[in-house]
Amino acid sequence: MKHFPRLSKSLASLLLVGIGWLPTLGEAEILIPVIPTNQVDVTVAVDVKFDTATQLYTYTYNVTSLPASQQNIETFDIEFDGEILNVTSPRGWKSYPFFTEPILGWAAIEVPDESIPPDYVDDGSRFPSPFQIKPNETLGGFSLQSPSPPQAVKFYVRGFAQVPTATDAGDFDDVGMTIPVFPDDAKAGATLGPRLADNLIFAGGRRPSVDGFLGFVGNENGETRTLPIAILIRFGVNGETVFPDTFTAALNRVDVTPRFINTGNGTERVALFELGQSPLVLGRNVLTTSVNGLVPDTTRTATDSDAFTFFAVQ
Amino acid sequence: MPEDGAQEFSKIRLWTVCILLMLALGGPPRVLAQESSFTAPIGRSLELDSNGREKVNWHTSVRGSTQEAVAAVSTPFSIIRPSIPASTRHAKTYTRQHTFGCLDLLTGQVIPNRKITVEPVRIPDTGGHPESNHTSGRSTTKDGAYDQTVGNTGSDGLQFRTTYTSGEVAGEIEVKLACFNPDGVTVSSTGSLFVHVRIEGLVPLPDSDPTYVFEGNASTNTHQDSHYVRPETLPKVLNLANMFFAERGKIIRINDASLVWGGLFDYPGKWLPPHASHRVGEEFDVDNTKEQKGTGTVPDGPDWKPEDREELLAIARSSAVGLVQIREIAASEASHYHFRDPRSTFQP
Repeated sequence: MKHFPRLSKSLASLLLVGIGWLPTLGEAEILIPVIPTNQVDVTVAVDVKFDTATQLYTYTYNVTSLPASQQNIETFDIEFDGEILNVTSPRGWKSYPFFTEPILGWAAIEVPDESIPPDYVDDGSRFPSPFQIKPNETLGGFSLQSPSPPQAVKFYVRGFAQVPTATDAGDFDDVGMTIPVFPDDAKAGATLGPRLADNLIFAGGRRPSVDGFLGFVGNENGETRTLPIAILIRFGVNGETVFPDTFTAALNRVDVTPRFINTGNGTERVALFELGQSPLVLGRNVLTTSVNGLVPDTTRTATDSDAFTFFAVQ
Repeated sequence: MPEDGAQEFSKIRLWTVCILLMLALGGPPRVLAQESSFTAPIGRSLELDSNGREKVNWHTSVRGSTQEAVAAVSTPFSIIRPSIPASTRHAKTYTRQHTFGCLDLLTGQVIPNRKITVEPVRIPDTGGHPESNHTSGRSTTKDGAYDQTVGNTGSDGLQFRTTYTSGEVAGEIEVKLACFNPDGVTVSSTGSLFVHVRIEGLVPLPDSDPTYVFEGNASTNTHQDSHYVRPETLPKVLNLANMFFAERGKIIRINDASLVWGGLFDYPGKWLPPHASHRVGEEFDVDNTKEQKGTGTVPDGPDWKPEDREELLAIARSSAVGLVQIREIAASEASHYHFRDPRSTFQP
């Protein structure tokens, strides 16, 4: 144990006693057992803004670690689809595009010299970055730009823990310990992120003169969609004059109008629906919308009412 | 034709056949048959073709002494993976049934009711294990074993079926065969067939790259060729090293990966663990600590900082959607990270 650090020794002792783990089981010698890194409770707030000059959406994320979190947050990843650029990171964090998956990750890696005690002895253990997100803290500054419009994407947040440690990697196999890998090593949730959308727009079909007041982007009526689900709508898809203030939406008969946020791309709006946090249910869902506009080539006001059906699956 | 002439013609015909057979088999037999016939051991194995269908391969043995047999081109008559012991990742015992017989070289027919013996012996310096750096002696770990080593060719000459179980160590196995005369005591012929015990398809990490250096391949090490990985793992290792170099301006020190044919990586050279893993090319070690063995900007050298470690782990996670990170602290060596490709395509 002479290589073992004071920090890790106390941590390991605590864990070993706490979970009743025997450090030696047969030939195996587990010095630090597998500590789940998903012991965080988190919310992610997203802001989406479209810049007409650059034709890019800017996605900005605030990550909040709720008081129930048992670990500091050290990584934050989001899925995306399409091109991303101009990624920014909070102080002390860096971004890493995943090598084999369309995922952008951020990690708190900076360890300023002044945060290291003078008597610190580097024995190979991790020294946590002071820029990790502690319980009851919010950190902003995660942002990226993309030409892709907002859609529902998964995010992953991981808590800090020392790396599982043994005298040989096979020791974990000996005792039947599985080391979680992405995405099982993280807490997952849903947010908005860039995702390529095809040009398919469902606008209704019963009243051609007013159907274009509101269109569902990238969606087909009656389709099956995998959670999480976002609905992207645009007003005046054929250039009609529409009055967005008159827009209303109800999902399964529950008003969800405030959930539709303006992206800044014309009158485009997007709403994210998650199980348990919205009226969304597994199976059949009906989103009813209405908005007023001018019937083309007239001064007459009319209402475009749509009923958009989709099936949600896990 | 006079009787003497007919006998002479028969003799000439016999010798012609013998010479042709000898030429076909690559040389004169060492052991002459006791019943005015030449014999040679033969072997049959069942292998899977590229479509996963079984195909039967018949092979004639390389005849002669062990030295001559080894010196010959040892085309494997059977390929099998090294076995992986229980409670080890990808644990599986690999077996292959082989049928051995004795061939009458004059008639081309297998000989019934003959005693035959089989013995697997590892050929030195194969599978990435220099013999001089290892302990001597025989063991099933390194040689593998047949469940029957003595048998009889039976009524049709093809009844001696025995199952080979590979050892944990990869390498070339010489299967020494001996056919006996009807007395069951004297040997009529000997020969060797060859089994390759290996994980197929491993590729070497490029030995020259500005973003990493190898450790463990010096002439003083037990195994000098220890940086082989699976093809799908290779780009992840390179990405890890390249990205770390791009971000930190430092190079990483890559320690053990897998041997050229995989299998047990017995780095102390005793044909036994401690490396329980590193068998199939999906794992590799990267040094971690601030030791003084490095120079310049080598990360485990004097300027290795805690922040380097945090960035190395962050890049490792993103390099392969989460390389498994295990910190090993073996008593005999320094702390290092053991990375495992969680998306390895290896299937036991």
